[in-house]
Amino acid sequence: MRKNVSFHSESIAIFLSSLTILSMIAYVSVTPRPKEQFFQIYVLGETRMAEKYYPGGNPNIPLGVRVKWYLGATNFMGSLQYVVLKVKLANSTMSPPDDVNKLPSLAPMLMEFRRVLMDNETWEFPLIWSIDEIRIEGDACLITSMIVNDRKIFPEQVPARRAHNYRIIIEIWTLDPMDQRMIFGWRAGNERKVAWLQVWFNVTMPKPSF
Amino acid sequence: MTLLAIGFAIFVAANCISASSQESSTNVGAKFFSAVLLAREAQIEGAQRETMQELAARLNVAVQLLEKADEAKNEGRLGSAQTLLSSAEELLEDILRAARAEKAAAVERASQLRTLTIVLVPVLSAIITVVTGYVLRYVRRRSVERLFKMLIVVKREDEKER
Repeated sequence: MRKNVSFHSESIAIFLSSLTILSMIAYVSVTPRPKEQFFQIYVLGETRMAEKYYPGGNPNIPLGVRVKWYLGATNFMGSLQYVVLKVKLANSTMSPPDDVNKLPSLAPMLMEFRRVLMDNETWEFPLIWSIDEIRIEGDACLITSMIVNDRKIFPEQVPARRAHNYRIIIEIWTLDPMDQRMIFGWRAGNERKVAWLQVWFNVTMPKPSF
Repeated sequence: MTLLAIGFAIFVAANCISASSQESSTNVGAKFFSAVLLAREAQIEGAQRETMQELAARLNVAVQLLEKADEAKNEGRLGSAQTLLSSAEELLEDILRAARAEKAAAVERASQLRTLTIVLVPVLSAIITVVTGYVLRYVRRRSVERLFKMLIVVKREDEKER
């Protein structure tokens, strides 16, 4: 009788232990592991590396000279995402995107590139631009026309003193699932994150003709 | 006077086309956002990767159509813009249907997996209990048998010595 009782209690102990262990294994295998959600954006030079951002390594860009970059974005959000890369033209006094308040730059937009990205997918494309026309107003230079990826663009007025310290700002915008609208940066859980890049350049002033 | 009336009619018609194009563009934009979010939900529910790749590719075609429609509208080709918007809308409706079906299938698969896990865990535990019980009993019986055999050998040796 005592032998039977001990056999049953032993069986119950084995059953409960295996039930606990198997439940834990099942829970771990069924529940997806939480991972950090983020995007990566980058600009590469004409060699598709982080070098040679300017023709001849000279940041003074003459009129009509083509500058070739590669823009890229990688989705590490764990799900399909709609991404827009906004390319803006700014001078040194215009405020860049605000990382603290998550606000985009108010600089005028040159062009935007849209794409639906799978999880872990990288999207890379060329950005070929040149300065088509400028206007000189006293000490200031205004880029009045640019050619971006074979499209002529007339940017809003961005004056720069002696044509120095222009910059191209690249911002990433995504579709926010909560508000169902495009937002600067992305939402990871309850947190808002932003990412942006900028590359500085000068415009070479044409010599005055007499 | 007649010329003026014709001019006014053309102006009104152009405005109507432009307004209707703008309205349908907004509708298509909203539909595009819904399609992206639905596809995203399907992926979160565990939709298959191949299906998601197909959905993403079709969504990118819709993006291109919308961009071309925008371009046509900016160039004043309202008819062409309207045609492109209609194609995009049609495609987006297809994507919405596919994403909805995929999400439902993914939810169904996840629920089946949950049920299977809930059933399998106690069944496996029971099997482990039975097998372990048999193994333990076998091991114990073997050790008792070995002990008896040893005792018998000792007894025989004792008898021989006597």
